[in-house]
Amino acid sequence: MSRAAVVCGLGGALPATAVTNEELAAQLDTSDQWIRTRTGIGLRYVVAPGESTSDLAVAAGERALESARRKGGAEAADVDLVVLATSTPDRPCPGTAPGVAHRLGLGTVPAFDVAAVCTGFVYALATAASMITAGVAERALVIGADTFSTILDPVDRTTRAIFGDGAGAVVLRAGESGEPGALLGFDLGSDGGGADLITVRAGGSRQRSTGEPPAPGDEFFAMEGRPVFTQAVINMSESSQRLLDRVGWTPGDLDKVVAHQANVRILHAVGEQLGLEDKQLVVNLDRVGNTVAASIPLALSDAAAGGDLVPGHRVVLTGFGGGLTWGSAALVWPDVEPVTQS
Amino acid sequence: MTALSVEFSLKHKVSGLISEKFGLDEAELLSGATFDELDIDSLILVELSLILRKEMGIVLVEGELKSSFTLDEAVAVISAKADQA
Repeated sequence: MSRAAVVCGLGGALPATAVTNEELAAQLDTSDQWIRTRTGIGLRYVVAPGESTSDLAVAAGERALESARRKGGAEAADVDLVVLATSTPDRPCPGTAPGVAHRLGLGTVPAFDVAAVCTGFVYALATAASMITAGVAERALVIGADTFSTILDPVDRTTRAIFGDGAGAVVLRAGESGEPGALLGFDLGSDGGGADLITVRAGGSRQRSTGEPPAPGDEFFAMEGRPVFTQAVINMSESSQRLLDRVGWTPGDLDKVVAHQANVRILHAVGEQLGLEDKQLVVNLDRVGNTVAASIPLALSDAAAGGDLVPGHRVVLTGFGGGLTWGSAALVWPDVEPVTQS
Repeated sequence: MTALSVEFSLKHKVSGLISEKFGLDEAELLSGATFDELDIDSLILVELSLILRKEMGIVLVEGELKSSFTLDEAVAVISAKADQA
């Protein structure tokens, strides 16, 4: 056995305001049926005016720390690292993580953001786990939080139907590779040739250095739906398979695949590519939409709270997002009690 | 097999796949109607491309299967790709 990062806490947080398909249909040229058949989504949550990514990150972080305390006592929440995955930071500068660590009362621990859009949580998990195995940290809080409602084009019926706001978090501690909850391996990748497929064109140095205001619409999030669908399916399937080969599992060995909750049809297409049965797929996007970096930890919280994911389950997490980026992680599910309410 | 019978067998394989995976009526697919007319949404064509990639090793570029196509027109595109594979 060797030193490994072990999952020991799990929490999630959603904003108070829910938006139904019917409410969207009242504002845009869409319908409940159109949204459900094309995405599988029935509900998403959005932040209130003035509420931000860090507010959700703090709520999810507090709950993950409380979850760690319930099984491991007070010292289980004594983290010495915070990694926050987000692509909707509170401000362009500085990173959002130091403020989150401060508000959580974590003192002067190292804290930084990871930007890999919908793959952000897997990248952040790999980063924190590697810092633990390298001996740089003992306990880490890894948060995925996004508020895409703040960057969506109000008249874009597709992205407004798909995306929702939220945050999810896990606590990692140093442990041994043979323990339940130990992260057994990662597969990470990117393809910048696809950077334009999922993007906010304006607001960064490329546009700001021109000294000109952004072209109309360029300040909003934009996505090329069909090529993204194809790339998401291929990359989540291939990344999962590469990781399974490394870990020594087959798709049939898996109890649960927790894939980025982008679109239920993407989840089923990934299942088709890997030869999975529907019961192996965790699905919660019908109730929260695509919450970007929060999607995987929120799906984990939901599945663990609902008894769909239980200790001993062999689990693969797999994500795909803007960049393009993708990544997967494998673990045997530990005895953790998710906290989703304050 | 002759080229014609290869295409005939491919047509039935593709119509069988669409019918099996998406629950669509095979007779309607073979009727000569376009995918649009059959209310097959554009995501189904993306999903079909991914299934063809997995099951037959045929890699279609996004947009090559169009919803204005009939099954015969789609099979002609798939057949040309299969020849290259």
